[in-house]
Amino acid sequence: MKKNYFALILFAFFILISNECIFSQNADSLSAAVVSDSSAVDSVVNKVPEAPLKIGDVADGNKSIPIHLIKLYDENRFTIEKNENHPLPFSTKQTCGDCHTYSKIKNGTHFSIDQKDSTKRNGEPFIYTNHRALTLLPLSYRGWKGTINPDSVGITPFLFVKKFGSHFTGGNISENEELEKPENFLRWEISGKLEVNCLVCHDANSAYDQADFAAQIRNENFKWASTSASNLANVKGSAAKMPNNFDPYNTNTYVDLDLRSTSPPTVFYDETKFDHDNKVFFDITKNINKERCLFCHTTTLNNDEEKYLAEQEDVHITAGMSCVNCHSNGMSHDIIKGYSEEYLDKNKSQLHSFSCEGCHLTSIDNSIVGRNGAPKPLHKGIPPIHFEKLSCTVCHSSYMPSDKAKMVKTSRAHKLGVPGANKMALTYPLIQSPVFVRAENGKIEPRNLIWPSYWAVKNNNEIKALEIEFVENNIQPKLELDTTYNFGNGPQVADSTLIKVFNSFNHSDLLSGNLVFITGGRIYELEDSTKIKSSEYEAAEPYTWAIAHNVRPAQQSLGVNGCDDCHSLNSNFNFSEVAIISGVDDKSNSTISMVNFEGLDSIYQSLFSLSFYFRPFLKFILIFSAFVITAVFLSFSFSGIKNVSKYFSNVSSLNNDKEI
Amino acid sequence: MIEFLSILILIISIIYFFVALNKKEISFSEMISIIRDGLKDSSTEKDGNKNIFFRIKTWLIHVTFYLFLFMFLTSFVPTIFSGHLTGLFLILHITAAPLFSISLALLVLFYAYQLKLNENDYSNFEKVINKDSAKNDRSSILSYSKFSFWLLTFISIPLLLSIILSFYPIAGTDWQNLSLIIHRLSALLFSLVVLALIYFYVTFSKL
Repeated sequence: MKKNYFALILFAFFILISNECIFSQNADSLSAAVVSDSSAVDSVVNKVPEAPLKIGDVADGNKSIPIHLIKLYDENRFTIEKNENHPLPFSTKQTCGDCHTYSKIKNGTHFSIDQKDSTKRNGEPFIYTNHRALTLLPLSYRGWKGTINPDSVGITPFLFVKKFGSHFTGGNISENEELEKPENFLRWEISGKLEVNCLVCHDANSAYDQADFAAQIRNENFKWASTSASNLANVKGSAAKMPNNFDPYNTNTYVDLDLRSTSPPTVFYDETKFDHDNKVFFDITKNINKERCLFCHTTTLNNDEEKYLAEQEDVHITAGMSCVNCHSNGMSHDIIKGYSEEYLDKNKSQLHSFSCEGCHLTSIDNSIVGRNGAPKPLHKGIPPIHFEKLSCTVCHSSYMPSDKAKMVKTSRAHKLGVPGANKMALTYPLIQSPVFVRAENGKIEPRNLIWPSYWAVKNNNEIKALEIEFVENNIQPKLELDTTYNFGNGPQVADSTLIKVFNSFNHSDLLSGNLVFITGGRIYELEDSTKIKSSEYEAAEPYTWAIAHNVRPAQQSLGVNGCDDCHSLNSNFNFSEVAIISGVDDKSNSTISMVNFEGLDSIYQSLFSLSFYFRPFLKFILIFSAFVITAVFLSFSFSGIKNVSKYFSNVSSLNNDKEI
Repeated sequence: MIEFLSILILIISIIYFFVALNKKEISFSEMISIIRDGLKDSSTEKDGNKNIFFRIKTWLIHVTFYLFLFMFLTSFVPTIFSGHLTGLFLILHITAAPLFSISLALLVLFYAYQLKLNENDYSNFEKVINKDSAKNDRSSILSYSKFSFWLLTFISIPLLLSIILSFYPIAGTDWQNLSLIIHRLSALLFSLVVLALIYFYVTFSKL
């Protein structure tokens, strides 16, 4: 019995000792930043308020870039050697994370797209389009007003990464296991995580290929994407074609596949890139090349005919600056956006220097004016009220407004730069730009605009967008939009089609309410079984996001031709037409005047513009009046001076007489 | 700041104006009737006079006075309440501006000789400087009115030039701001001098 107790105590002691060892091992591994299990490390790091600094977290002050001749590590932190038979892709989390604290970087602006935006300033959403289902959804996890959370329309993080990962830097959305849906568990195991891809910005090697990265995402080769895009390796095969039980180390899991047409994702490292210590050279830079930014942040005219005439580089780029001169960041990778209130939102006065006015005009507290030799504009003849009512970008950014808002394409919305991108001029989604919109700060600013279009279910005045899978499987076939071409003015359906679709769902058990269609700023629903009605609806309003580029030189700014640029009856600033892109062919108004977005009254603007026709007359009368008044005043002043002199001489002579 | 300053100065001046009238035992309604009768008298007292210039001169006082009131209301009211002169008020203000400026110019032109300062006015000012008691007689008040007229003429020069300057691409943002401040301050001073002129006219009529 005693022996049993002794054995029990001994066993407990060993357990205790071994736990302590595990604990100390974790602590050691944390301090040395040598980690074996990424998820375990994350949990430890999250508990520790300040992770210990690594060698690459703080610069020593030398402005040159350290040579990055480093070893490659896979996701399990095994060194990748040049002669391996079946190497894994290198992991940026382990490779770059060897010297830089990954947990600090991964909350940066580009990587934390799953987190709410505290500034509430609308940005470009990820746009889901399905022209055959008349669907256009501005998606975002940021909580921007007018966007739809991908989860609410059945877009899981896995699907999100697959659809939009081509123009995504990787990070939280694909790494946060809390966000994962059970139905995607096996697919995540096969595709791996799309870690923060440091190389997308920092690899100065011109052979880095983001288009290849996009191709890997399409094949669900998430963890292979960074490796493939780099100049170190090629990746063949597709995780998307692998069965759910695929295990790269077990050929039995894919023995049934026809390997002539498809193969498991496989890495082929370029052995010449490895030195004798199995180290490879990364051409790392902090001064990010503009092309890297432009891959995801391009906005271009959709009309090829005009493009070569109208397109020009941002004036700052032409002057030799790079994007990161203004859109800079520290170790946290919290990118400075550069809007005028950012210093207030982030409570950091230095950020004022990175806005237009903070750099070119005024300083606040300890902010620096005139960074990078920014000239101070004179704005000759422009009444100061303009600076209170308009953002700088109205006159200086984007394209000059024309009689109709221009149609543009953006990298992320139109998959620009990715093989297979639709090169037709009008391509879904139709984005209009610039549209001048009154922002939350009361100023007017140029924005891009899209009209959301989606199917929803209405239950007791509560409207909820339908999941995209339901729409694709149930509504899309009924619309019978058999075109497979994703271009043109956008497909539309007639009332009769809508009535047919509405009737087929309103009398079925598929939906818990009535089917409604939201498009072109209106909500369409059945009035009775033979008639539809439409009304304006807040959630159907167009989604807009501010644009600040490309900045035009002063000679091309709005207003350079005088007040008439904006204050005339046919000014494009006020009266340009914005197309209403609707999925319903209801023959009603197809355009809306720009003035409606500016929060201005069109009658007042017309009247005010009219007053400028009389402005020369006003100037003449004022100058004439000023001349007359000045002439009268001066002439009488001279005689007045004479009289004063005469008066004082008379007074003094009288006094002299009295004295005499 | 300038809005606050304007409100403060205007309120103090208007209160002072009414307190001063009250000291002279002139009520608000009495003041209104004096001004109305005065304008009526000046246009009718010499109806038999065939001199067209006299009629133009009296008509000019009417027009300028009412245009001044209009300009005052369309500028100070929105500026005080919203900080800006925008919207419909701006349109009304700039529509009336050329009419006001031309009528003011003609008023100055037509009344300058009549209201030029003479030796009697200088001696009245000397009385003020020497704090002599006889400063509220008709002659003194007439002298003060003349002086106010010339002050008004002087102030109207920066008032007009500051806004003319801002119409042309000559001044940059800083100078535009400065010219706007000059315009606002000139308008404020102009209004105060008009208030003084009304005071002198009412007290002159009462004597």
